[in-house]
Amino acid sequence: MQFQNAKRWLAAGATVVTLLAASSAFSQRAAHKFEPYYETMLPISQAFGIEMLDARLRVAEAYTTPINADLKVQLGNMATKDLGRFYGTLQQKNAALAAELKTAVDAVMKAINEGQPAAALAARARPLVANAYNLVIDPALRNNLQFKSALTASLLVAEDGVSEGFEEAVKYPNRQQYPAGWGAWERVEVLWKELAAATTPALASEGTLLMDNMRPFYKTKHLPPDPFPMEDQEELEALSHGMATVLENIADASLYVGRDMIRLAQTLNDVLTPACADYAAGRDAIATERVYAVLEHFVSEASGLSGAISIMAPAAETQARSLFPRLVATRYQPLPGGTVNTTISAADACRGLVTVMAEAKKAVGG
Amino acid sequence: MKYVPVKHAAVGLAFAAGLIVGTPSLAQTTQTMLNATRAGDTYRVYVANEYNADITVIDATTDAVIGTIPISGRPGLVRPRGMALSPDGTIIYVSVSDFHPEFEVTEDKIVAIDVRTNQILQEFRAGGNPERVAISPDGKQVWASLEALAQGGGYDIATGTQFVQFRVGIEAEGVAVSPDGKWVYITAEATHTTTVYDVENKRILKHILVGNRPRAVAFSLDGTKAYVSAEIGGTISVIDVTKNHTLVASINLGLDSRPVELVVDPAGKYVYVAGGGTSAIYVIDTATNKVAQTIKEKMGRRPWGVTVTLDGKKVYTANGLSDSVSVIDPECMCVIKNIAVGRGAHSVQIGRIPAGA
Repeated sequence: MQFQNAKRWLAAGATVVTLLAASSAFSQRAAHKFEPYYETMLPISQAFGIEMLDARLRVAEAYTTPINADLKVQLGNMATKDLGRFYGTLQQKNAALAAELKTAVDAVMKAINEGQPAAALAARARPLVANAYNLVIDPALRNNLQFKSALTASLLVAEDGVSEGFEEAVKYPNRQQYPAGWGAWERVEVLWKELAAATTPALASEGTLLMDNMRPFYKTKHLPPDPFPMEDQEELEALSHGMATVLENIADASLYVGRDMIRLAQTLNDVLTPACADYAAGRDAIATERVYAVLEHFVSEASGLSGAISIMAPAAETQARSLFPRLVATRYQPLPGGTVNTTISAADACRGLVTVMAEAKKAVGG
Repeated sequence: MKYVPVKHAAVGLAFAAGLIVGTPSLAQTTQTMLNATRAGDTYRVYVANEYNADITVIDATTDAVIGTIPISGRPGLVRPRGMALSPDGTIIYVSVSDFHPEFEVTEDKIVAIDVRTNQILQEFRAGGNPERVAISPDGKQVWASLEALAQGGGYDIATGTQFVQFRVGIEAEGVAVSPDGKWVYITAEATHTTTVYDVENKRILKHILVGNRPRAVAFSLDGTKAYVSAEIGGTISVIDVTKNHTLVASINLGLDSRPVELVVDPAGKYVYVAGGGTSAIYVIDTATNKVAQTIKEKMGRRPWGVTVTLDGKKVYTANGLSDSVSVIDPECMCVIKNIAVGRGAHSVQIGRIPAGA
């Protein structure tokens, strides 16, 4: 019953919103100086993939064998969408390390799928992930305040992250999303310490209070027992977005790309376009990294483009649903009656998505 | 389940606080209410407690809790959220939805409560996770945002049946009927849109892209403008109803604001906006479209719902994290009282008991 005290914690700590209101950060600021998702969308996506790969390996280390079927599916994302976010770049930087990492991840998944112990294999894979991190993401960028804030925000609110992982586990019969959220939460704890040390005492205090309030939701690696308290997922979502606000103020950076839909559509177009040439040239792994980066912001529930065009340009959105799954592993799938376009070439699928982004831009007023 | 009065509370106190009415149906009910109200009327504040599955009733004169109305025997799973008021102020309509939005379950419904008796008058099915409701100016129809279906629904109150359902954006939330009854506006969180439904011609007129993550919508008293809050955008979108429902302005509340429900005051001078996660109330001057005041001190935590009395002398907020209602005096633009209510206070409305009833 590890969640019994969650509401008490919240009640005690929710004064943070009052603190937010009273702080100097509470302002009518209409714009932030930095926009890391726009400026470094691809590297943030790569870093998120590395972080989530490490998070899922930690889950594989922490959970006892045999791992149940649902969790196997969830951990299987290691080999697809986590690795896919950065594998092409890693291959370019160090092909041997890329191959070694892929082999290590495959070994972990093989053990899991066969009901064999995977903890030791996962432990052996994690240093490779750390090496990959150092190669794929420039250390200066990795330590950049805006980059780190955006990455932390992604871990908090993106798919498989802290808030979404918990929400999926509570709200839908998809309980095994919880461990992904737990893995993301552990990294948020580490990143927050670094960010808190780099900001003002007032903002550090605000963030620390929010973290104190979020911690009870993930104080165990294991799934909470039934009944899952329904209000907790909404509280955690609110706290996560509150934390994103603190991060925005720490970095003076906008962390919600959907505040400007026209610019978002254009940026997704710009990030995606080079991928089409890469697919055409057979550089699929490099191209796929860009598709993952675009997809994240296209489908973001809080701030994405797909929702808007589903109603403003539904044909374009239907097209997106048939093409994204052709290129990457994703839960964004065709609606009932639709199908993934499996006959089209990767390059043409990519070009189709570029057209979708252009149509989306028009649909949102651009 | 029956209404449970608080034994020591004074019930049915004499009219003292002036003309009072709930919102966001304020615009369409204002004139009707002004016509209907008279000395001797009394008023009650209703607070939907999302996690308690009940409604707290507060005497609007004394601001004391006088009872609780149970809504469901499944607290934690079934939740009352948005509320609206009949044009004469005597009936409160509550949207009730099941926590599992992917299923259409029996407790997705709209509940009508008699303000005079605090008894449930009527319940009718509204499948699809109804989040908020609005009432037509003639009091004959309820309009609901059906969150799980990305649909809007219209219901005939006399028969309790749905007469129309139409496509809106994903995660439909806010709903309002224009004061002339011609338009239904429904916001949608995930599509960042407001859908305009033409009631007379029974068709969707258009979808309007508004700020990021729109929550609530309210019309101006004359019905020429609609205000839509955008929680992540930190803005209030202003739509000119007379110019083919065109977005004409965006009022900046600050990127770290989190606006949710909003209400236009009876004089049309201010829009009060519940600041949600920032625990603030923003007061917008409608003449300038600027923030005239931000009320923070003593505010309860995470105000989600907001309403104003018809005389404009008190503003009530439903505070979801502190399980309370804050009472604001617009004279000083300050919180004058906080009232403990049930868990997860979501929205707040004020009903009228006619004199002699």
